[in-house]
Amino acid sequence: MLALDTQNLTKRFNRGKIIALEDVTLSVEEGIIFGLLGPNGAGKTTLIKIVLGILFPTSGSAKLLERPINDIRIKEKIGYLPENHRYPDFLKGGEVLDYFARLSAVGKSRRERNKTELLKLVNLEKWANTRIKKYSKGMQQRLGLAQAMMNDPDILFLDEPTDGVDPIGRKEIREVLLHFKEEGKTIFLNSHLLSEVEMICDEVAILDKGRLIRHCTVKELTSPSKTFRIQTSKVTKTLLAGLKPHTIEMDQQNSSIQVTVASQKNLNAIIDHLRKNDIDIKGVVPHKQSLEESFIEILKKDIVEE
Amino acid sequence: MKLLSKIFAYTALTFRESLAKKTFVVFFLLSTINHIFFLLALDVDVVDGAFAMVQIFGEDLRTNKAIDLQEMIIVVESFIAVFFGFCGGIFFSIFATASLVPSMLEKGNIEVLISKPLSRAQLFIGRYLGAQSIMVLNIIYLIGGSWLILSIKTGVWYFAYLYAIPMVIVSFVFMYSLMALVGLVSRSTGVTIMIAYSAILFSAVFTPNKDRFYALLSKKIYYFLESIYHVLPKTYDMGFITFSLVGGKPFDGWTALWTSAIAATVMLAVSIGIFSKKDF
Ligand SMILES: Nc1ncnc2c1ncn2[C@@H]1O[C@H](COP(=O)(O)OP(=O)(O)O)[C@@H](O)[C@H]1O
Ligand SMILES: [Mg+2]
Repeated sequence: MLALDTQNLTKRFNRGKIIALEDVTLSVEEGIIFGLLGPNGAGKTTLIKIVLGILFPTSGSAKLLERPINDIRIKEKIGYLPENHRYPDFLKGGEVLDYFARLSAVGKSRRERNKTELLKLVNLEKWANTRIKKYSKGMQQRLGLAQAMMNDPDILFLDEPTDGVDPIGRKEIREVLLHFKEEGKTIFLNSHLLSEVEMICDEVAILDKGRLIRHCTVKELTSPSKTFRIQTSKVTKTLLAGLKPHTIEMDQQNSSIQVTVASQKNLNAIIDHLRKNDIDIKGVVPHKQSLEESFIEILKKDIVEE
Repeated sequence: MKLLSKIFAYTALTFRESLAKKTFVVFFLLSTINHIFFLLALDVDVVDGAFAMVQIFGEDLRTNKAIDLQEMIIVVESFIAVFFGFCGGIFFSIFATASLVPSMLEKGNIEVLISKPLSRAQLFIGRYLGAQSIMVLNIIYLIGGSWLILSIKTGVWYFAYLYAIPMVIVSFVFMYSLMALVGLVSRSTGVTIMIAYSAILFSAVFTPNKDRFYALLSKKIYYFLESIYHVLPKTYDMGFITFSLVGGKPFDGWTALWTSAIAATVMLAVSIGIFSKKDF
């Protein structure tokens, strides 16, 4: 089943002057962690808000769990952590969970059970009876995450979930999310923090200026490329020139050569050539591209193509 | 059932908000001060004096005087019902509830609310009911309490005084349709309060002076004012009906009540329509 399915979603603001989202067609399978990436202002928040009925699309349509988004009953199966959320600050942590779960028609016994469990999960047990006014940004974020999970949702929408959270808090949030995924549920998260997405997402899509420019698995974006770093003893210029025919790209830094080759055969040829010339090979390391590098590359390509 | 429990959950949260913002408590305290005032003020002059007189003279005189006393009490109580109950009740209710719609719409809050399995109409109505529940409890305490004190002090249990309770409640429900619409469009508590008082002022100036306005103004302007009069809650007329009901006097009928009810219903429907289409 598809958790989310959008057809040609377009959203314009200010009488069409600002195009926040343009013709976005995207589908997300159930049971994965999906990351929507893009620089600030790319339209990530706009997409989530349309799906949840907070904004209305200028054109296009969307489905959640294969039902049209204007059917409010599907929201019983949805949890949402907005960007910059503000729960009424006179409430205590436990009260936030309680009141907002009542809005989802979660019965009293289930509310009590989930509250205890989730407060423990997000590490706020000791803070349940403290007004959220006194919470730090990271605590509010964790409480917001617990709030989003109070109705046992099938899909979680998280808009910049680790925003303002310190590294330890981030790790805790990642663990909560992985735990949630293990139950077969779907997470849709927005982020501009690539390293984070790389760590937990199965699939990603990249938005830029409202357009969807890539949708693939994280593996595809970060798979080992044909670039290798060869650590050697000193190599002369003439020797390097001899390697040239075998490479697509070559770069030398101190005692290592970085080569991009078309196939394994070329790599073997390079190593043979070096060995024949009595160069010591101390290591050959395949160079894995980080998501960040792919991301920047894709965005750059997008600009060039324009 | 499930739907009602969701709507009432939001009503309860609204109630909780008014407790936290102290508006509810302050309203309650002011009503209490009002009660204490009656408790002290009524003591000396009016009641004791009158009863003392009654007791000094013989039997016949006493019955006559008692009738006078009763009439006097009715007059005094109908003034109290209008000035403290009606005017005071609406005055404080406006302050106690004006912030509720703007605060619902605050960024970071409204997004979570809309993500819940409630339609926007249901959310809006939940908020509306929350505001009304705050007002109803306070009005019952303010008017019911003052009635109790007046009755105990004078020994006259004048039940018509209690008409003021439903009248103030209904008048405020009408007023809140306007306030909810203004709060929704302006997202500002201050603007909501200003418009509410302007509407009351307009009603109080225009309604009793219609003939004079008709004679003085050009027809176009007069009918413009007349239509505003029909769109806004007819607070002055409602106050007048309250005064008449409590005082046991005849009045012009219930037209003001049901036309206000229609206007308020339309206004609420317009608010829900706007709220249901708005981007957040
Ligand atoms: N309510 C609004 N009115 C006008 N422009 C908006 C509104 N909301 C978002 N935008 C614009 O739409 C674009 C996309 O915004 P957003 O979805 O918040 O981006 P992201 O979440 O990727 O940072 C931005 O250029 C933003 O300025
Ligand atoms: Mg955003």
